[in-house]
Amino acid sequence: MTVRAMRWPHLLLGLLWLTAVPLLCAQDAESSAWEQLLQIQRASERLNYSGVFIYQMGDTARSSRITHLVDSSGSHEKLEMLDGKLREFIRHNNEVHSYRPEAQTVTVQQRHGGSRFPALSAALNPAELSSYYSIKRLPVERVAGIECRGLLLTAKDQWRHSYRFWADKQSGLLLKSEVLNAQGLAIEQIAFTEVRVGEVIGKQKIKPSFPDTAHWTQVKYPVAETRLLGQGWSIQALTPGFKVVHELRRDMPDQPQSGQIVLSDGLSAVSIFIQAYQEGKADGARKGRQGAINLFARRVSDYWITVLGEVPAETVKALALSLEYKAAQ
Amino acid sequence: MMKPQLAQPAGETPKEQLSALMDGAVVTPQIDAVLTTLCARDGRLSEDWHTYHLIGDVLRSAELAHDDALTHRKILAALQNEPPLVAPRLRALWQRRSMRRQVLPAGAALAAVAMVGWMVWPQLPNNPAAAQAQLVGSETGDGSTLAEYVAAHQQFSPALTAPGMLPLAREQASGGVQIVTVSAAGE
Repeated sequence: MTVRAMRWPHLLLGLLWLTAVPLLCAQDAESSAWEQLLQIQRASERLNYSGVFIYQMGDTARSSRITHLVDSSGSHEKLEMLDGKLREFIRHNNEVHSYRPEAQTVTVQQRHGGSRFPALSAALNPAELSSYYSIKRLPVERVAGIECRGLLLTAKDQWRHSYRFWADKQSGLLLKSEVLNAQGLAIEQIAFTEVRVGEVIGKQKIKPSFPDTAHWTQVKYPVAETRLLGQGWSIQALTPGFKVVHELRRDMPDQPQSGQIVLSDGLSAVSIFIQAYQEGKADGARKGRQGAINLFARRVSDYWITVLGEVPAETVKALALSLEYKAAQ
Repeated sequence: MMKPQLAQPAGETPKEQLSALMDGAVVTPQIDAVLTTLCARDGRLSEDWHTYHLIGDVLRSAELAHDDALTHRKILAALQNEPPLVAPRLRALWQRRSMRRQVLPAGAALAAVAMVGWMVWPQLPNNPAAAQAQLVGSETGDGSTLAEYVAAHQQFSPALTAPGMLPLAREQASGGVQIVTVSAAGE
């Protein structure tokens, strides 16, 4: 008997092993990747961290310093813009104060969803997300000097972008995120360049840096839940996977009493703004894009609608074109 | 003891062998054995060993060469006394190094171009109709700037692009968006 003949059974066993194991593991690997995504989301709300990150979008790059502190009253955050105009944002739970020193103005807003992760956790549902995104782990990579686990969420259709996330192996904190277009190119990214996770942070670190802000002008843009769909407005063809999550009546600068419909697939979101059409304005449809955000605006009846979100151009366009208004009889 | 194998072209004299060793041309794992054997056979080789390393260090560091004129002269002399087999190799090494120096800035420039390309790319209209469309600045058609829409959108968007309120950074960066008018055919 030759040595070669003896090798065949081993080769066959090896082949079986190579084909069977990935099949058996694929299911597990995917569910553990989804679990990791949920860990990323939990980490950012329960950890203290501070650092500098760079936000890159289109041809713009901006760096900001972030300080995040969790105490018995919830989560506090201070965000300082390091480039361009002097801006600071102080958040305590859902309330955000935006400081504009040149105008001595502080804008107070309630945040829902994006900035506040518990709301996100309700939306981040792997069972639903897996219908529209496939998930896979990426090789370990260093971000800001920290070893990170990577995740790739690939859009299963053309209606949404794909995402790449890198989170600290130890704490699970998201340190880098990229939004990818259909060609797999990064069109927007946020990445920490330095970060300290889990350190003790004094409360003075999350106070505004400007002295004596008490006499600054305070501006509020009230927002209230309302009903728009079914009250004249309808979306003829909702893009797959997107659900209506908010219908709002809000004041926008220059445009009081605007309507806003927020749609989301759990990861990407689109807003439809509805405002009165101002006579004399050009009424041709417009589109715009920067980074991951696309916009499509058009006139519908006596209204001007602006559809905007971190989704491909086709998605905002399709939604804008399928929005209809019928005045009540 | 197994005789250490030298890769071709291997030097014949101990000096050549030492030089080959330093050039990484010795393929045996028993490099220590080579060194011990060579240096034990010829005491001056130990001095050569140090000189060769000095040459390497100076080739890699401009400061070293400037700091010590004496060392510099010694090295020049040593270079002239190099065995013929070694000298071209060192020169080749030097050429490789200087090539790398020329290639690196070119590489960096390429990376910069790629970066600019990457950053500018999203600004390019993706259809010919839009390419001919008229730029109308950062307004969306009703007087509000895009930044305000982005801010209002982010307030309720559950998009997972960042921890905490990082999306706020986005509204700050969105001042320069270009809105184009879409022709009727584009719709």
